[in-house]
Amino acid sequence: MDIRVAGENALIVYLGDGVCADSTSRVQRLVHALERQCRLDIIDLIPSYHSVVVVFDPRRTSCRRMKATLLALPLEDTDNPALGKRIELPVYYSGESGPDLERIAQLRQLTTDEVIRIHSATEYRVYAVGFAPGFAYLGQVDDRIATPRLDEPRRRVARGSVAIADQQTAVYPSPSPGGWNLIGLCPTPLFDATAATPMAFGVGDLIRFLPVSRSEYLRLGGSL
Amino acid sequence: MSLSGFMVSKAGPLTLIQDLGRTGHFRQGLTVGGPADRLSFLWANRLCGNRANTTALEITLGGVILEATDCCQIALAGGEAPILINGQPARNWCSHPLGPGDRVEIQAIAQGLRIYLAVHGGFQLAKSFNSTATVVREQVGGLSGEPLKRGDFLAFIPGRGEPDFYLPPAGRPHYVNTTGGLTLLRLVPGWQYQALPRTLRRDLFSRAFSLSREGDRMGIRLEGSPLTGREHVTGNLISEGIVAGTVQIPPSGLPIIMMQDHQTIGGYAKAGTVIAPDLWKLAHLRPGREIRFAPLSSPRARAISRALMGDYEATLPIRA
Repeated sequence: MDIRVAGENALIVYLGDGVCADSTSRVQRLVHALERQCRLDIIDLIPSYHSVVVVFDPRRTSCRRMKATLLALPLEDTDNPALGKRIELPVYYSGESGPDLERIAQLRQLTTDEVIRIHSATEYRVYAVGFAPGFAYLGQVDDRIATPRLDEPRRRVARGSVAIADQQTAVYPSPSPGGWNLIGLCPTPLFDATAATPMAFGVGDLIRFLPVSRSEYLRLGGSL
Repeated sequence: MSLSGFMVSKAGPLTLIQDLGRTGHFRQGLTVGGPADRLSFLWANRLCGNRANTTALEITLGGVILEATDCCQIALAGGEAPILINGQPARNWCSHPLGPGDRVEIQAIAQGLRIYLAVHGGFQLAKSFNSTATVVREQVGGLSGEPLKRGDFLAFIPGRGEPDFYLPPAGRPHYVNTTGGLTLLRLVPGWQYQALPRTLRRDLFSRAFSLSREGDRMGIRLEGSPLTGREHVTGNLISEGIVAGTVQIPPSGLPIIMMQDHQTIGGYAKAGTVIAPDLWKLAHLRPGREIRFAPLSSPRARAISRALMGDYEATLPIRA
């Protein structure tokens, strides 16, 4: 565990070297341990790929005390089975719902069916949530379909768009500008500000995409 | 029975409902929001007898007209603008009683950039994610996540409130009215600072930058000559959490300062963090204004913030 100062009232804890499942599970363990043991001293946490930013309450603790607390947290042995929920998201993959599907296939000398098969065969881990409410960075995308971002971002990407940027994939929870390659649409609402649980998953959870037909997509509440 | 409140007759270019901000939701990608100048926001609430985290208005650039439907007490604090109550000049940094039909006008802000308007008891509206702070980019908080617009209604609990109070100039945050010249922003170098090229570190603290037009509550891009050695900065680090005040060094070599509505994670190299009181100062600077960074140690930064908040607690407003 490597702890650095990230701001007046913030520390950043690094829990590994890079993008891997091991770092993510350590990130998740730290988040759980912090929530159990020092909830009151902490204003908020930002877990990401291999790090957690800890924003603490300077009226209750100090930088030094927070550091000591973090170093003393037991992380290694807590094998919590609740860590890492498995979630399945239906996706209507097609040229109609994913304007970049064909281009990726041509670029990588695959058929669109192969691109779909490869994308939906991988179980992805949620590495980070950010950019927009409910936007989850998922990895790793198979090398055979990993595709760099568009040179010119689109002004508007539709809600539910399933997208690829290099080895990352994501579902846009709400319409926004975006530069990722679009390959399909997911009918499941990912972020609902008015719901008790606005977001169905978080860092460390596992996501699998399930290809569905156009009619199934519409039946599940999707729109075109 | 009709609600008591203000009818918005003129909303101004950017008037936002704010409380102290949204915490506990970084994990879902929601930013903190809250007032860009926290100290002036606290003063507006305090001058009308409110607790710190009471919903008030952040008015950017001015140009607002509100009409009260009932009795209330308001207070203003922040940048300097002509303030008129029923056409008569009224004081900034002061609370004022209003009756039914009274009209408050905040004209164009002449010094500083933002002014806060609080009402005794606070504006009454539903919270989203435990806060009323408006973050337009996220469409969260305020009245359906949007800036105020003409015809909006801002509900309050009717009542006279407490006696009126006034904060004389000596007790006000001095940074609100900094005029002309170069503004110093104190920056605590972060651990990634040491990994930046030597020439870039030298330039960061010796060059002046101006605030570009691409600046908002999310972040402010700086203009000037790009930092030397920018091509040796590692561009896409693994994305990690960032906080308000973080200074990012993108490949352009021109720093970006993250403000109150910052995105929660980012992958650019970071030079460090601008201290909170200097972010509040920055919240009053317009595009084109010049800034320079000055290095500050982390313990000094905490001491400065503590002293400033200590002064705030110890300063007593006088009866108006």
